[in-house]
Amino acid sequence: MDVPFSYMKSYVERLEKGEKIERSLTAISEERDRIVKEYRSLIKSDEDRKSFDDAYNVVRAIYRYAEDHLFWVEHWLHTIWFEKIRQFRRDPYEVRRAEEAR
Amino acid sequence: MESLKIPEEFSQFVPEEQVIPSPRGYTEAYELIETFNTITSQMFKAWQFHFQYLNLAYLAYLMFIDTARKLFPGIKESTIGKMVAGADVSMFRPEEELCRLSRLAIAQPPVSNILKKDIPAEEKIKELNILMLAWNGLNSWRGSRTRGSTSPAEVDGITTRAVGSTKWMSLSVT
Repeated sequence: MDVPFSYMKSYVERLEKGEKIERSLTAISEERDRIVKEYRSLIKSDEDRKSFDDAYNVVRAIYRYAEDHLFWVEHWLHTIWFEKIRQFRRDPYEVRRAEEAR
Repeated sequence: MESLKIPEEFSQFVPEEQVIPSPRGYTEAYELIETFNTITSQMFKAWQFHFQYLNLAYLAYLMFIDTARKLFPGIKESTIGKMVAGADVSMFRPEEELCRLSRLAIAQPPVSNILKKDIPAEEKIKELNILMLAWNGLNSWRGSRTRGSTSPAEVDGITTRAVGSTKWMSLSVT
C-alpha cells in the first residue's frame, strides 16, 4: 500500500500549493484532434487521405488495449494470482504438527 | 481463478464417506495438485489474452506510424504519439481514483495531515481508522442527542490524543 499512499501524499501537497493534479482528457483530445486535422489538411490526394483515415481509425479503435492489457492482465489478474499462489505456501499439516509437538 | 479453493489444512485421516461404501479413489492431496495445475493453466491463458491485445495494438500503431512517416516525411515520433493520445482507458482509473481521494482529503485537514506524514502506509491506515472510529463515535453520540453530524475537523483534537494514547490498539488494516 506504500505506492498509492505515496501518490496521495504528493497529490495532497500539490493541491495545497494550488496545482492541478488530474490529467485533462478533454485538453489531450482537443490537442490530438487539432494536430490530426492540420496534418490531414496537408495531404494532397484522395488515395493518401484514405490511407491516413483508415490507419488512423484502426489505431484509435484499438489503442486502448495498448494501455488496458496492463491493467487487466498485469495488474488486476496478477494481484489475484499472487494472493492465490501465496495460499499454496501454507503447510497443510501445520496445525497437526503443532498438536503433536505439544 | 478467484473461486479456486486451496485447502488450509489436510485431515489426518481420509473421511469415512470417501471410503465407504465405495472409495472415491483420490484424496484431497490430489485436489491440491489439480488446483495448482488449474491456476497455472489459467495464468497461461490470461497471457494469451495479454499478447492478443498487445500485439494487435502494436500492429495497428506500427501501421499508423508507417503511414504517417510516408505521408509526412520528417514527422516527429512525439507528434505521432499525440495523434493517438487521449483514450479513456481503465489503466488510468486507479490514478484518477487517487486524485479523487486526494481532493476529498484536502477538504478534511485531519485526513490530509495523516496522508502527508512520512510514515509507512500501514501506520497511516491505522491512524485513519482511529480517526474514523472517533468520527463515528462522536456522530452516534451527537445523533442520539441532536441528530447532527460531525466533520473530521471537529474530532481532530480527539484523534490526535487518541493516536498518542492508543499505540497498543491493534486495528484491522484491511
